[in-house]
Amino acid sequence: MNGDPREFRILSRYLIGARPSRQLAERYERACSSLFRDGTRSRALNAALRWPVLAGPLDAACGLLAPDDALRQRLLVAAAILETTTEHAERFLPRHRSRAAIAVLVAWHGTRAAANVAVGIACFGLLPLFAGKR
Amino acid sequence: MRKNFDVLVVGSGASAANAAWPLVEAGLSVGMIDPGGRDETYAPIVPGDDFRTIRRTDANQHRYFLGDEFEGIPFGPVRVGAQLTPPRQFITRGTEERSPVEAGALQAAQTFARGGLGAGWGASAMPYTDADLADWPVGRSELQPHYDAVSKRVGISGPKRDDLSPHVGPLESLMPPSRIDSNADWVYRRYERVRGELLARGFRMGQARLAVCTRRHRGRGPLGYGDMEFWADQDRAVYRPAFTIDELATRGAFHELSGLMAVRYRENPADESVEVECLGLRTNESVTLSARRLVLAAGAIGTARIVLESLGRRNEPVPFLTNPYTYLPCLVPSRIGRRTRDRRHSLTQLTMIYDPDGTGRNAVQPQLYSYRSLLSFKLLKESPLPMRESIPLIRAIQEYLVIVGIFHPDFPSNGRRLLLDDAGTLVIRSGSVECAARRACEDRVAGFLRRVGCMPLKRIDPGPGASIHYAGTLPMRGEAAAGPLTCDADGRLRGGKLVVVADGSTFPTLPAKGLTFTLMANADRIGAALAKEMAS
Repeated sequence: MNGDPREFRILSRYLIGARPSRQLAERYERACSSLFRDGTRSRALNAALRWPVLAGPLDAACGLLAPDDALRQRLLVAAAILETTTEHAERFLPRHRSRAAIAVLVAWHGTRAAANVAVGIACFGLLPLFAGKR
Repeated sequence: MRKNFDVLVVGSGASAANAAWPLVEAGLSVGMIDPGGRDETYAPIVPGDDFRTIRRTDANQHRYFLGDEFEGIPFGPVRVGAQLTPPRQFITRGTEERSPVEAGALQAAQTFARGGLGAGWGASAMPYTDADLADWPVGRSELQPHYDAVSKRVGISGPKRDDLSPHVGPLESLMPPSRIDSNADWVYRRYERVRGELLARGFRMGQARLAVCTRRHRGRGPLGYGDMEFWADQDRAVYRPAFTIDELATRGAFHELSGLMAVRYRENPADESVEVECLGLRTNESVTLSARRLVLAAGAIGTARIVLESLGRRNEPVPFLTNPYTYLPCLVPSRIGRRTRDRRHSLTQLTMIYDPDGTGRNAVQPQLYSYRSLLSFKLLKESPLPMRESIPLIRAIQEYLVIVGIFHPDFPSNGRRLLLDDAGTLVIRSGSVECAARRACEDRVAGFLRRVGCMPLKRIDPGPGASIHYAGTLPMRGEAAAGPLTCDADGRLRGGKLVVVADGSTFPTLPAKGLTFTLMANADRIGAALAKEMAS
């Protein structure tokens, strides 16, 4: 199914750590039907949905190796839908932080990103071994 | 249907509305032919609140931020009109089928909107100086009264005097400048510290002159600093040509003929009239209208189509100008951790001029905006980091991000040509691309930006035509350079008597400054000259 509720739940949980409402899941499904008429998927997307723990590493790998991969596109749609809701807007609105807090934030997320990239590139290389249509 | 008018005006954009004004003022009956497209989907549902309040409270925000067909979610590279948000996309809707263009990599935006491309312009109002008008048959002194008339009509705000004044010249009736946001304020203060050095190198900066009402003006404004200018016309503070048409519509002599697309015209010298054949867009029926004079102001592309079709000049190339455009997303690192004013507008905050050879002819115009109201998810797409990590990082630094858009001038020597082929398709052939010179110029601008505290992060070239500034297809030329498919200094199309061109088609060159203010002033000048001629 193109953009089914389970897919949106997994992507939302990965993006902001929250479980979305049914209404948002329906909106995501409508968006996928409208934007991905041919229902294009990728090995990375299929793998991230099958093993949600891999969503971060595979997103990181795609960000560097395949920015137009279906996984990144679905994540972008999920982020757009989450951002334009009253319940999740606050997670996206600019927030003032001190210079020191921003430095810590950059270090923390930079380290996590680097770790995800390292794991993700290895996983990305192994994707052809798993079933799934690219 | 056949009606007789003193003047028919084709188009409803910035040129058409301001050409019609002096004609109506002179007591002439004016019919305005235009498809008349409007946004009836989103405009009624955007609340009048500020951006942050809307984000926190409006459950319908996804409709106008993303679009009902999710057309606001971008895929692929940055293309034409990133600022054409779902509520603005009606501007270009429906044109491809009725008015086909083959332009290759060049992005040729056409419009059927009431108010033309001006329904979504960025409101930058920089007049041309004599240096900009060097190859024109008119100078600043001829345009000056019309800049002043348009300023009074549309409402222009900006400082009376700053470092940009030599590139602006005198302007009457300026409203107080809009309040700049925290990033722009910081950058401008840094500029003031090093201005001597930068001025000596040909780089100058000032607050943007904008067609924005900072105080109440003709039932519009004042600007509410809600940061929603890309999404809605709150307070009607930012000028849209439709506002002038609304004012004209209160006059008995003005008739808005909506739902029509002008196809061709024919001059009848015997009875000094001109007939315009139109297509009814809803009925698909042909409609002929007639008048004593015809003013073409359908934009450089639309007007060229009508003229080439009417004069049987298929396959004859005419020049085509468009400002090359590049974005530089920049970080203002020294502001990181500092508080930011929430109330702001989304339009140009600071305007810069870089005049590399001191002649003004090759000057480029960078403009600085802050990024917020275009939403974070569009930045996610550009981030190479995993999205989960990008969200908090973007959230933390977004307030210190600015976008600098650099406009370059364009000249007929670019070799770009437009023609109408046998199938009725407009074909735009690309010309020479001076990438190296343009890139070198942008490198110098990037250096100046670093001096004023902006750190460029990357360079985004959205491709030719992305400025959505088009001109030069039927250029005004003096008698010495007269030729077919050119206009005289009053916009009269050579080879006929009854047709004048009042839009960007007449621009012989396209300076880097945004063209819309000069479109309006030049159209007012041409309309006034025609009114005077008809009165005599």
